[in-house]
Order: sequence, then C-alpha cells, then structure tokens
Amino acid sequence: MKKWSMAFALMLGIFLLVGCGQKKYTPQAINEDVDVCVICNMQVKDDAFATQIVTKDGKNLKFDDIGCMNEWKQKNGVDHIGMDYVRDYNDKEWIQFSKATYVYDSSFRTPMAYGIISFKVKKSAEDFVHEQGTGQILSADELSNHTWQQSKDMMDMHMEEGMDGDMHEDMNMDHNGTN
Amino acid sequence: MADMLQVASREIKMGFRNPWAYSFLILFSVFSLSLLLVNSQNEVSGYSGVTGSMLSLILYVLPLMTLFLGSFSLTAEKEEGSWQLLSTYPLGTMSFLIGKYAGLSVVLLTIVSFGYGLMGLITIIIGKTFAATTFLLFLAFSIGLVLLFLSIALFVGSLSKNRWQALTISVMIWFFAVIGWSSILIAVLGLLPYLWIKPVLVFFTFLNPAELVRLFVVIKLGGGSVLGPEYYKWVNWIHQPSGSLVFIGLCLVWIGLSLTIVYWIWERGRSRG
Amino acid sequence: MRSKHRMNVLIFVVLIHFILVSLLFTVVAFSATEEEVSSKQIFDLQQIVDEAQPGDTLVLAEGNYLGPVVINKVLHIQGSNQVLLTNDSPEAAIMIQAEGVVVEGFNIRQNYVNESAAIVVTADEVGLKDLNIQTKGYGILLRDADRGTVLHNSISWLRTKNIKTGEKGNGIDLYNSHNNTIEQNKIQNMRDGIYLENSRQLKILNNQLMGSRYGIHCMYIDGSEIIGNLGEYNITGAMIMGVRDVLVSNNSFLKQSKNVNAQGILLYSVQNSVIEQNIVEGNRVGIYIESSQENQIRENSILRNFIGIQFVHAESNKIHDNDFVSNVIEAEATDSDANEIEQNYWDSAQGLDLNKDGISEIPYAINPFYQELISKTPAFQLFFQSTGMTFLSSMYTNNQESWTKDSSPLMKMSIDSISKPPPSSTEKGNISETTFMLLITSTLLITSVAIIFYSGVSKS
Repeated sequence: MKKWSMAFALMLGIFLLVGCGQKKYTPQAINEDVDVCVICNMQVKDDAFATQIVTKDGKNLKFDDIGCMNEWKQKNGVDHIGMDYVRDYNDKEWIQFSKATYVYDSSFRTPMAYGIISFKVKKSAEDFVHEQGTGQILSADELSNHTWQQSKDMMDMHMEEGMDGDMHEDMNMDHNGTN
Repeated sequence: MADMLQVASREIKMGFRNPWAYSFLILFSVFSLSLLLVNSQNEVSGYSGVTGSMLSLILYVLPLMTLFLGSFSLTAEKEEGSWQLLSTYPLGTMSFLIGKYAGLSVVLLTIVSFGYGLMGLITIIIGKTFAATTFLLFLAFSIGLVLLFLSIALFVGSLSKNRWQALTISVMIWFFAVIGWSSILIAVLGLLPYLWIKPVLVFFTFLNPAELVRLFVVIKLGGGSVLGPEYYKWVNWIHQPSGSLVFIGLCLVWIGLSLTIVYWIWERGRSRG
Repeated sequence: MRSKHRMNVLIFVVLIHFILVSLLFTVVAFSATEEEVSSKQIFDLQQIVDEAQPGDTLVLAEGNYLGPVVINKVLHIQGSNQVLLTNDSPEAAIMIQAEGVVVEGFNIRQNYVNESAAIVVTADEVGLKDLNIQTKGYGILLRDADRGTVLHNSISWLRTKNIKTGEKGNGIDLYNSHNNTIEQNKIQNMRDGIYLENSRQLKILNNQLMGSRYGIHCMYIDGSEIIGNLGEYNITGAMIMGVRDVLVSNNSFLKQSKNVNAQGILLYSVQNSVIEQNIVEGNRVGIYIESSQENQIRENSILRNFIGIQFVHAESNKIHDNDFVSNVIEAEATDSDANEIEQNYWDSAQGLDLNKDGISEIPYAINPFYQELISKTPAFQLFFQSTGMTFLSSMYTNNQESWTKDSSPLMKMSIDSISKPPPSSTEKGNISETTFMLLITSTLLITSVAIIFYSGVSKS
C-alpha cells in the first residue's frame, strides 16, 4: 500500500509542476475542426477576424468576430478575463485587445457583420482606410463607446450603389474573409 | 503449461457445477431478452437511445456478476482448504492463477455468449433490425468488461478470507466503479484548478475498466463527437481500425498488471502461510 | 449448417461479382464520355456571345468551350451534357450582367484554385438550370441579383477531399439578392452548400446537401422559406442565424454526427419563425436553439440523435406535437424556462394517463444538471450518459420549478415517425446482414451450450 501512495504522490507532484509552469495567458491557435464561437456557434475560421479570451483559470474562449467577444463581455463581465486578444488584419498575429487599433465601417464584411477590423499598428490601419476610401479609426477605448451595430439592415443602401460594373469584384474580394 | 491447463479445466468443470453460474446464466439471458423488449419498436444500430440504455444496463449487471463468480472461486479454494493442498504440490503460483483466470473466463464468456446468442436469435425470429456490427460491438464490449473485471475479481478474492468478505468488497468496488465514479470524481476534481481537471480525469479513466470499455464502445458506435472538443483527437484516433488494436493491447496490459499484483499477494501469502 | 454456409458464400460471391462488373461498366462508360468531349474542337464562347443579338437563343454545339465569358445582353444559352466549359482564369467562368439571361444544361469546370466562382450573377431575373458544376472555388454567386431561379444544378468540389472545409468555397452563395428561388440542386463537399446573407423572400426548395460544412447557412434572411431539403453528413444541416419570419418545413437532416459541434438544425437569434414537420435523425444534436424567441417548433420527428433538442437562453417559443424517439438524451435546457412546451411525445418519459385523454398528467421535466456541469467544465463531457452520471443527475433536484418542462406530454406518437422511413440517399440490403447475424448468433448459442454440456453436465 505504501508504494501505491508513493506513486500517487509522485503523480500529483508532476501535475503540480506542470500546472504551475504555465501561468501566462497565452492565446491558443485556432483549430477549425473543433473551434466554434462561444456566442454564435459558428465555426471559427483561422482568419484575421478570430478573437480570443483567456480566462483567469486558463480556459480559452474563441470568437469568430470581435462583436461576439463584445457580447460575451456584456453578458459575463470582464472580471474573469486573464487576457483578451484580437488579430492583425495583415499577418494574423495575436495582439492584445487594448493595444490594437480598429477600423469600422458598416460596409466591411466580417463573419457576424459587425464590420470591425483590427490592426497591430496604427499606420497599417490608416493605410487600410486610405485604400478602401472609407472607415473610421478607433482605439480600444473608443471602441467601448461603439454602438456595435450589425450591418444586416444596411442592405437597401447596398442595392442602390451595387449595380455598377466592377462592384461585384470588390464584393467577391471582401468575401474572402467572411464566414 | 500443463499445470495451467489442468487448473483451467478443473476450474471450468467446477464452474459449471456451481449453481451460481446457472443462476447468473438465467439472469443474464432474461436480462438480455428484456433489453430487446424494452425497445421493441426501434432499430438497433449506431449510438442512440436504445444502444445507450443497453450499454448502461450491461454495465450494471456484468461487472457485478464477474466480481462475484471470480472472487468466490478464489475464496472457495481457501475456505475448502484445496489451496493448502495444492500448495504442497510443485505447482507455480503463476500457473495456478493464470489457470484460474483462463478457466473462469471460459465460464463467464460462455454465459455471455449464451445470453447474446439467445437474444440475437430471437431478434432475427421476430424480424427486428439489429445491425451486425452493433451486435458484435456489444459482444466485444461485454467480453472486455468480463475480462477486465475478472482480474479485479481475483484481486478481491486474494484479499478476502471468506465469501462474505469477498461479497462485501465486490459490491463496494462495483458501486465505486459503476455508480459512484462520476460523483466522486466531480467532487474531487472540482477542488483542482481548471487546467488540471482534464489530465487528471483522463488518468483516472484509465484506472476504471467500466469507464474505459464504455467510452471505447461509445466511440466505436460513432458517438464520439458527443464527448466534445476536448477529446476529439482521442476519438478520431480510437475510431480508426488501429485504435481497436491499441485498445486490446491496453486491456492486456491492464490484465497483466493486475494479475501481477494478485500474484504478488499470493506469493506473500504462500511464503508466510 | 454447412450447406447453409456454402449457400451464403455462393450468394456472396455472386453479389461481389455483380457489383464489380457494374462498377467496371460505369467507369468505362464515364471515361468514354469524358474522352468524347475532350476530343472535340475548342470553341471561344465569348466570341459566340458577342456575335449574338440580344434576345437570341444560342444552342451550343457539342464540344469544349473556354471561359471566362461575360454575358451583358439578354440571351438564352442552351447546352447539352456533351458541352464542357472550362475556365482556368481567376475570373468566373460565366459572369452574367444582363437582366433575364438564362443559362442551362451543360458542364462547367472552374479550375482556378482560390477565391473564384464558376458563375457570378449581378443582374436580376437570371435563370440557371441543369448545370453540372465542378469547382475549385465557389459554385454560383448571386450579388445584388433579384428574382432569379437556380434550378436542378449539381455542384461539387473538384480538388482533393482532405482539404479543410474553410478553404473551400460555398456551393450557392447569395448576398443582397432578394426573391430568388433555389430548387432541386445537388451540392456536395463544399464549404456551405447554400449560403444566404442579407437577402429576403427566398425560396429554398428540395435541394440535396451532402458532406459540406453547413448544408444551408442563413445569415439575416427575413421572410424566406426552406422546404423539403435533404441534408446528410454535413457538420450542421441547417444553420439558421439572425432571421425573422422564416419557414423551415418538411426537411430531412440526417447523420450530422461526426463533428464535435454537429447539429441537425441550429437556430441562433431567430424570431417569429416556424420549424415544422422536419425529420432530424442520427445527429449529434437534433435541434439546437439559442437566443431565439417567439418561434413555433411543431410536428417534427426527432429520432435517434445523441441529444434530441437543446435550449440555451431560448425563451417564449412554442414547442408542441413533436416526437422524440430513441435519442440518447431527449433534451437539455439551460436558462430557458419561459417556453411553452406541451403535448410532445417523449419515449423515455414515464407518463401516467388517468383520464384516458392521451395526455400524461405527469409533466416531463428536463434535468439541467449535466449541461450546467459541462458548460462550467467541458472536460466532464467524458461522463456523457455514464451510469454514474445518470445516477448523479437523478439525485439532483435543485430548483425543480424552474426546469424546462413539457407540461402535458403525449402518451403516443403524434406522427407515426417510425414507420415512415427517412429519405436517405444510401440504401443497403438487409438480407445478407440477417443471414450474417443468424450465423453469428447460432454459433454463439451452439458453442456455449456445447461447452456447458461437455464440461458441466456430462460427468467425465
């Protein structure tokens, strides 16, 4: 019996060591086979729109759109959050939510139509706005005053301007990132 | 080797002269027939309500039956003094134990296959659909349960002095492994930090043959996705054909280890007694 | 015994032969048609289109055509199955930019790997019929295209199958396109079979959707109808999100059980919609309802799923006259107490009908213990339906008044769900299986009886 309790204590010790080793809130890679958005249940694509919360007890919660992450925060509060991450639009690197720069426009297509895109540096956000010819640059703080309007009711507007020739090409391109 | 075979054939003969074996045979047959009647309108294939409840019922009955028959057989040797007699002969403890194990396996598996044969035959006669793969999987599930719990039964039998003690310990182990398992684990693991829960749970699952075999069958029935994203890699892996081989290997290791412990207990008893 | 066995073997061998021969035949036939097509002359479809007058009907001669093609005037293009349009450019094989264009009856192969589509429609009242599309990107895109018809096409994935679903394109993809009808299409192995976004008044009828990520994926489509579709082996059959006033009826969603997040029908943020007379069978979760209100879910057959129906934050819905049969767990519910659930048939419910009106006087309550447990600690999903878990759940009776419950469960099925076989695409013979079973079971029985007699009864 003594041997058994020894072995058991050893096992526990190993678990302890393993457990204590990781105290940092590191973001997990997106696995498209199993990851679904905690809020809307859609598959989380391994793209720039994915966001992630690591809770204080080490649970990784993944979202397909920053809007869904916002909804989670509304529902559950921010007390349990160890760290929250968004991704850079260009290289998909995980960046802290508070350090990122955001660009919003209702015409940007994101998985849940919140129309917000995140960037690591402000410069690339500005470039993006310049390139698209539209978009509002927001910091993480400014985002807290954002209305979080989903652009599902904007479709009438689209209809008027969408008929000219090369518009579908843009749409097609924007579509790359969606769902 | 010859010793082993002799012990085994003696065990089989004793087993089938034992009224307990026949009462369990009747119990198991009646029970498997009632399984059929409970869900008489549904097709039996894949992981569904029918197969799910069949799994649970088998989990209640088979381990208990195995624990009783197995442990009683060993205590009987002590109570009736035949072990004292046998140990004066140049009979190795290992051959004795393996012979016992083999003999008892034959007795128990005969009971199980009688029950399944009867159930299957009646299924065909009343024209019900019972997918052959599902049937075979259930048979394998029962065999796995019997073989794993039999090694525990020998362990119980070698620790107990008499039938009553064996009975008490058997019921305790049965309750712990089959009924109390998740309650106890949820209570204990709830005290651990979140990140430890999964690895500790997996570790303990390997210790409980009832859970181990149940999970294997659920996955093989195609129900693995219900275990959620935490285990999907395991599920995919076991679902492959090679998963079965690994599982059989795992069972053999399990049986080997517990028989070694039983051997160690008997050897100690032999050198002292 | 032996002669029976020999008979079986004989039947088996004959069967195998038959299958092999027929297989060989189809392969030969298939490759023959392929060859025939490829040996023909290659035409420039754009040139033919440019030369045509608006309103013309073009009947394409047999042979190969090259894309991409832009159609910017009213034309009716008709092909046959001896016509193949291939496109290797990043443009769509066919771009339709004029109202009233009809394209029908030929093969299209979109070879460009990446975000490209076989057909892009940006005009109203376009008809696409009887096309056989193979694509390495998207199938058919409709952008700002209203009142169109997509009828009887087949769309399938051309690249390797092992690619992640996220890297594929959608079969039929609508954005901001209203009043379209999508009917009788067969879509296989794409990302989403039919993807619908920001569009209204759509009719999605009698399509077959296999092996894709989501069979039908709706985002913000109000006032649409989804009727008579069949979905099998997708991750989720119908993913219905952010909609109002949608009718989902007479669909069959079967065998969505492989993925850890699979469902038959998922409703998220759905209002005022009707889900009726669907068959959901053999899925991981039959019907999943989250954050949805004021919906009617009625007369569905929910059979043999791992979890029959699952509610999460769903309120004020009416769920009645559904049949729940042989699900591993009938129902799970959290934070969903204000639904009207009544007169469903639950085969595991212990009903008691005292006044003989066919309705049980004992309500059927859904125990939330397991779902609450695993939402806190997903690792405990390992205990799904373990014997100990059933025991533990039955001990849990906290707050029983607030559990989701069926106030008046039916004693008998409302629809005869069992006798109505689901319209599965795969069929299998039962005869050989029965003989096989007979063989196994009789062997088992005979061996066991022999052992008992030999060693127990006979005093040898």
